[in-house]
Amino acid sequence: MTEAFVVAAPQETVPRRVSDALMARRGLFLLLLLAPPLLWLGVVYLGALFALLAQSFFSIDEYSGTIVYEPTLKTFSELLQPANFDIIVRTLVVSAVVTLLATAVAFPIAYYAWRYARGRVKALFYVAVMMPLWSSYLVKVYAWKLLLAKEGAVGWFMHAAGLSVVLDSWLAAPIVGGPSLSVSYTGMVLVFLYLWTPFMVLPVQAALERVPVSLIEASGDLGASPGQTFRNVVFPLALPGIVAGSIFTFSLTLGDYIVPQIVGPSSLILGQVVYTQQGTAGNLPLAAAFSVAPILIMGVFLTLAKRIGAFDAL
Amino acid sequence: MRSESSPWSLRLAAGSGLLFLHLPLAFILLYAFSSEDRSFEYPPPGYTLRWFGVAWSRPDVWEAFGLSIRVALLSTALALLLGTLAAAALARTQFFGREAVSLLLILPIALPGIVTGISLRSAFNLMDIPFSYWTIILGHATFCIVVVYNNAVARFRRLSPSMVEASMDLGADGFQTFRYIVLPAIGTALLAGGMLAFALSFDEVIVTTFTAGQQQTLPIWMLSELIRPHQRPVTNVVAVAVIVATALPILAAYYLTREGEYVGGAGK
Amino acid sequence: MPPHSSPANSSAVTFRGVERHFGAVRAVDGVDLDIAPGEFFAMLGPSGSGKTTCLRLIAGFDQPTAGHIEIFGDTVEGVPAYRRPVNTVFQDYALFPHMNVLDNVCYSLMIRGMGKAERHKRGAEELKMVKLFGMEKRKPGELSGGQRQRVALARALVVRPKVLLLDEPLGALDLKLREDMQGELKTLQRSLGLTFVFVTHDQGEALSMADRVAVFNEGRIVQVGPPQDIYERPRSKFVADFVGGSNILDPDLVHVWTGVSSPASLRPEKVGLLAPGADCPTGSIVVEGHVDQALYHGAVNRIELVSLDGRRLLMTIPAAAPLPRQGELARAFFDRRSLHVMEDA
Repeated sequence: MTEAFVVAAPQETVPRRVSDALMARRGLFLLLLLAPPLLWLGVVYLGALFALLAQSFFSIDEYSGTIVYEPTLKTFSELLQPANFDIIVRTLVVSAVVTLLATAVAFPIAYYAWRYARGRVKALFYVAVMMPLWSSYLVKVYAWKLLLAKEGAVGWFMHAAGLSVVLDSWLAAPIVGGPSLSVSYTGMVLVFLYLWTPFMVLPVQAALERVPVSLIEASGDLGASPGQTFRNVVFPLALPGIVAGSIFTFSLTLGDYIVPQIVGPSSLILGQVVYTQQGTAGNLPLAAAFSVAPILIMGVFLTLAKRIGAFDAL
Repeated sequence: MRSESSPWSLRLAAGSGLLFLHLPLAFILLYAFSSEDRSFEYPPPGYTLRWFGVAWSRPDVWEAFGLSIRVALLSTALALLLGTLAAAALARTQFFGREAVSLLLILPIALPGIVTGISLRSAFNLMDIPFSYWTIILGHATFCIVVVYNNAVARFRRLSPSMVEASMDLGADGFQTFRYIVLPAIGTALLAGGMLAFALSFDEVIVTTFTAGQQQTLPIWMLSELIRPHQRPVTNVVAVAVIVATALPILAAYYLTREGEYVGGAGK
Repeated sequence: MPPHSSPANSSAVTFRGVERHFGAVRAVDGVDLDIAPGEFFAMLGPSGSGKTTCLRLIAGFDQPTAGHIEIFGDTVEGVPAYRRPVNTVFQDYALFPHMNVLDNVCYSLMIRGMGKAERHKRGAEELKMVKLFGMEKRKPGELSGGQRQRVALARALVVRPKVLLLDEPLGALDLKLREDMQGELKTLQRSLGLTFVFVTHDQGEALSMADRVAVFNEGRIVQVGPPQDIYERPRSKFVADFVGGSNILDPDLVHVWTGVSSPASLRPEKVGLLAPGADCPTGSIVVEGHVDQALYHGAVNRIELVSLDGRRLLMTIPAAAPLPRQGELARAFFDRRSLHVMEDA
């Protein structure tokens, strides 16, 4: 009972023949796919980075204020002057503090979402972290300016709770204090913390998600206390996520110049220096030289992170 | 999964963390209705809707808003094209230099915005390119590519290869397969990526400052208002508008990319 | 279509010296094959034996590193999958999740430019043929595994390809469904008269459905033939063991019994247990020893006997007989003719 059923072959079209050619030459196909994005990124981005590097090897003529397009190490040597070097170190410290605090805030959220939240609650958690992550950066900074101002909400609450003594003594302390929360290192760190915590929650949760919750039960089953389970099982597995998150917190803090300007103390951090140097000071080469520092720092960071396997958690 | 009850200390920590993330934005909403226009006084002395009207009639606000929209649209379009091409190439193939390409894609976001900004400015300076609408787009498209790429590549990876093979097996060539099988499968991921890219571009200020010259996108407008305020409550109102405008695409993008069924009707 | 065809070749699929290497791995290491038109052909072997790769080479998802492949006389090297008169039923069915069942089935008709009304009619007929009713508007995600399989089958058959390929088609189904589908596939193939080539690691499936079976091991075909041949007359230890599981008897023992110094295969169901005190039937060989393992398997008992000189003999006996106790002394016997001496290693 063989059916005599004949269907016409598909139409021979130009795309069909092109498809033939591409099928036969997979390498060419791949190249065609990659060419536009690679060209764009190569020319625009890498080209710009190269321009940056080039600029850092130029210098400013002290008298005329114009850029001298001749290679020299003079600008880099300026970086090593104590005042400038201080800035770099200070920025690194701030970044590290923000990273540690962000981990402390982010971890319970990520842990809870991974361990205990299921279905709708989990989705809700995800949205709850995503929303502040993606809402406008400036709005967030602005919100904190309002909150931290002398007459703002934080001050009001502290006063209402009878804690104004605590607030005043904190503000009087060296380094962390200042005339008001909105003009101090404390304020600055708080705002950075607020801004970057979601960047820490997501990778940590992503890293934890790769771990079956049953591992915790197994660990307990084998006799470990909750503390031991945490130290030996959970934390090492979450570590790549923490490292991935710190890539963001470090990178974002190293380059930020807006937050310190709005809620920071008078002493500058790296981002601000770059901004002022290329702007009002017109010293593009120095700004470029300063920018090389975060590139190098992030380069080291990224290599270390890659070794730990943090890239999988991104 | 067994649902156990979590220790209250954990719940407290997690809850306060989330609250910490959301409260400040709530305050902004509050301030937009405040009748006080000079300071950040809390609690606000009175409430009014007046400032919404004032903001509506400010021409500089509208101009900045318009520029932001135009930049975001074009940057998103470029990022969609380039990000999807890259994702298609990298999703399932192994080739020499693959890791280097992934790194290149992520670099514009991994390196601090100020680096990207000043690099572009250095380049414009060296090549004598004047600032314009296009220089802004150049920067925005570059860091938006990876946002689209991440969404697209995740979806490409979930697309089972046997589906593409099945389509070809049944007589469809490469282009037909793309049109009937691949595009519907990645469509929502592209939409989500596009929305995220839009939100990212709309809100971006650091790179934009370095590549914009005289123009003002909305964030740049807000920044100048923050430093030298004209009418603070108007800034509050604009802030509320921005919150709403960016929240919608984000939520939409989230719902579009929730765990779906794009695994090819697995037989198991 | 491609330039040259083999003269007067009545084979549906021909492989000549086909090889496929992945770097240092030789997935297919020199395969020659002739599949006759209208045949239900099985490619059987353990995972990694090259059978699936060969299937993909026929389909066109892969190209051989060396060798020559023809489909109904036409060379297919360099011919992409969409130009071959071959359709495939995938292991994971690969149904298009965004299309409903009917559109899935009609896909190849749509690609060929058939009008909507006509192709829907054709598709509905095809679904009836694979006995799937009332599911036309559903999406693949709403179907059970067995239903999805029928859709995949209908989709692949709707244009009556010259060769239908099936990649482990029944692996995901439960036992009852699997047995039903085996019969249905066989009936379908007979009524359509198409050439079916299927890949499986399940020897029971291969034996029950195929007209001929090719046993693969490490990239090569080690034996081809009708199922009875493969089962009753395995040519090598590998085939004897892989297909049906067997006792492989050492050459020295075989020499004692038959005078030939070659390993021999002895199927467990050909071995019986002598009742204590019973006489040995003429023409039988008796092995004395003790029972090491006795397991109940529903229809049969699986009994392992360890002989006096330490060799193991496996037998499957209808479970009507009581299960012997472990350690019990026993005598196994089998007809001398049940021994199949194997020529290859």
